[in-house]
Amino acid sequence: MRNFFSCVQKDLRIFGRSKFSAFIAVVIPLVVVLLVSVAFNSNQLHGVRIGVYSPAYSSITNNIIQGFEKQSFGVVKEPDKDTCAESVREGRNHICVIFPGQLSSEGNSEAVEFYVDNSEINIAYALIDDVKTEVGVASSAISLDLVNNLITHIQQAKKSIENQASAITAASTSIASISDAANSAASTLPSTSKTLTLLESARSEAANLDGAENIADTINKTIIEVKQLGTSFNSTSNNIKSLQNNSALAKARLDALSSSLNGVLNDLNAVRITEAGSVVEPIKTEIKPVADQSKNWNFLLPTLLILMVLFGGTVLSSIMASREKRSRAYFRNFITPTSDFTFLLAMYVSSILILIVQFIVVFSGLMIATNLPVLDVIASSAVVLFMAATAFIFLGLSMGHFFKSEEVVILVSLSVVSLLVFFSSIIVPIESVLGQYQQIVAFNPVVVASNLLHRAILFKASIGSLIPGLSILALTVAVFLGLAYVSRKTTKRHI
Amino acid sequence: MNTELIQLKGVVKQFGKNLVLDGVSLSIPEGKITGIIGASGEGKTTVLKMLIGFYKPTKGDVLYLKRSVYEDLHHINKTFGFATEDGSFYESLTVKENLHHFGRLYKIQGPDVKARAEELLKFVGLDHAANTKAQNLSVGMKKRLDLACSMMHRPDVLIMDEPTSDLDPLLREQILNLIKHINKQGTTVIITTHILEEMDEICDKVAILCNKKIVEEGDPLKIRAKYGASNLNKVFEKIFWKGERKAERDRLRKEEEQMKEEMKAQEKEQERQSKRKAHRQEEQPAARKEEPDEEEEQ
Repeated sequence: MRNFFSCVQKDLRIFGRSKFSAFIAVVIPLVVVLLVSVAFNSNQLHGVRIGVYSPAYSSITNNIIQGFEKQSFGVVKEPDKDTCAESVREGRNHICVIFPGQLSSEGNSEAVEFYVDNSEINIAYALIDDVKTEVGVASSAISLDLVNNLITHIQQAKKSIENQASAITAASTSIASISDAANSAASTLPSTSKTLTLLESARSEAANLDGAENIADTINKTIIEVKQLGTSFNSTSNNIKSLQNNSALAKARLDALSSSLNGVLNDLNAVRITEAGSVVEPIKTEIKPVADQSKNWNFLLPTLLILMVLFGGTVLSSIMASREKRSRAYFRNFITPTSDFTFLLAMYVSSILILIVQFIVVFSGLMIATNLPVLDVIASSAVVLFMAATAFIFLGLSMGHFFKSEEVVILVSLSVVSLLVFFSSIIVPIESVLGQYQQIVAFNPVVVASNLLHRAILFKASIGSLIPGLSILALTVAVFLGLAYVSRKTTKRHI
Repeated sequence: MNTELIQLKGVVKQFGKNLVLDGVSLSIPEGKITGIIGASGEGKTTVLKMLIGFYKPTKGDVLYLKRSVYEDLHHINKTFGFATEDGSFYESLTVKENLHHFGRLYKIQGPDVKARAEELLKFVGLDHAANTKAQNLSVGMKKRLDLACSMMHRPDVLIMDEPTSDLDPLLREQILNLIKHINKQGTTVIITTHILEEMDEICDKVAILCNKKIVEEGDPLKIRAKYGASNLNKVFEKIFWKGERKAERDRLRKEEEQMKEEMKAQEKEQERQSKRKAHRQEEQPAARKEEPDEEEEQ
């Protein structure tokens, strides 16, 4: 063990005696953290320029534009559609929105068009989302007005129909009463035939009586009048019958109308929408943040720490290994009875100690400069960072031992680091990688460590809940350790 | 005492297409100083690095006490010390830190490391520079530090690659005395050098490496007698410049003579120019002296 500690002591002494290296190790991470924490201390996008164009700006268009300005987006009114689209290609604007002429609430046949540079993948979708939301808000407001109007009219129609239906019912009842009265009147009309028979028998008797000619004349006149009265009664009876028929028909029609109106009323009553909001946005959505923190800086912190571990671990250890290999003393190390594994382990411990110092500085800086509850997350974060650092250091050592010149080592380690970063969600979401490759990318230690740290810092996940991810990191450590050992063993004679 | 401590048996070493050694056979006696002589690039360092198992021969074998050194490298590492031509230590560590570090790599116990380091510092005459960083040492001091580093574990065999190169005669003398002293303590010493006078002075046995092979080995006195030469330099010249290399030697000699003539011409030209310069300087002060007189008159 003495030789192991001696190697660690030697590495740290050499590192410490290079004042520039020590400065970089301690001060640079602190500066980076402070700069990033100050620069990203907000929760929105800044300096976004939106180009807008409309052949005729309506009040709705202007409202939408004001909405953009309220979100701190810079709005530039472009002279025409092509210039607006070109401004995105030239990078003068981040997005271009073309509004139809006289955008109104009465319905528009033309769509609102968005021109966006989708090659700027990380900002394009965030912007589309924000701008579409702003246009969507205006669109929803219009829809709300329209639907409110519609609902009011429906309510008024319903009330009117209800009123009409009751009037029709009353009319139907009245007609029924009229029919009944007519019936009664018809039944009360007396029959003139008996009276005529009696009068004719009385006339016959009067004719047989002498001196009763006057009486017979009177009876004749009466017979004539009774006959006229009978004719009149018949005519009245016919009229009553006609009235009865017509009123029956009218009642039937009114009943049919009443039934139809009742059907319409039932249909209107079946419409349960009473609020315009439920038509405009039938499914209400509300985005609830799962993380307590709200600043961009908080969300960037796990990524920043992983990048520090990645670059610090890989590049530092690869350079240390390369310098050791190219140092004059390498030959003497080789001819001492100290195993390769001891040298490898010592170099790992030296690198991790330097990284630990860096992270003590970083977390101290975080406690002072931000409100991040460092102490709440320090245990789980430390475990993740330690495992990630171990993996990246062994990766760096394998490269440092494998390649001959320091320049190549730096180039290769930076390339590998860039590749690992590229195939993580740091630049482009890994969901944009093809399905079959996604399964491989999921094992990228940057992805694994980044997810774990994300959960540890933002959601305060316990170490126990991180064990599956930590197991993958442990496996990665074993692979990289093996790689570093084989790399040292196979290349050490070729100096 | 085993007379054949180390043996190289038909060693061939090839780096890619470059054949460096072609069937080298050599035996190194125990307790003696053995020198390996050869022109630059003849493979002396390769031979030395094979002795400690740093390089493996393409063919043949290297034996230590009749066992292949590659069978037990751990034992070889404990038994052999190696002082390199350029020095093999950490430049940014101090002399003492280097010795302590390598002492611990040789698994010397705690207090013994310090004691051994102090002993060696006195032995190589670096005790006054114990806390000086290696990068600040002079060339001679670096050689002595490297020697001390290679002796921390009291090796039975000490290999020294060009121990006196780049040293002035005084420092060279000091190092040679150290080597003799180390050998007197029972350590077998194997050295390479291109300064053949040293070999004459300290070696019990020399081996001459030429054309990728050992062409002569044995007692320096006997070799000198064999070639009728007054010193090893002349022996080496006779071996090195014979046969196919004669034309090359003649060409080199011609080039040397040409170079000497050119240098003489250059020296003469420089002399002439400096004389002219001196003459002009003598004239100018005289002119300047006259000028103030003119001003005074004005």
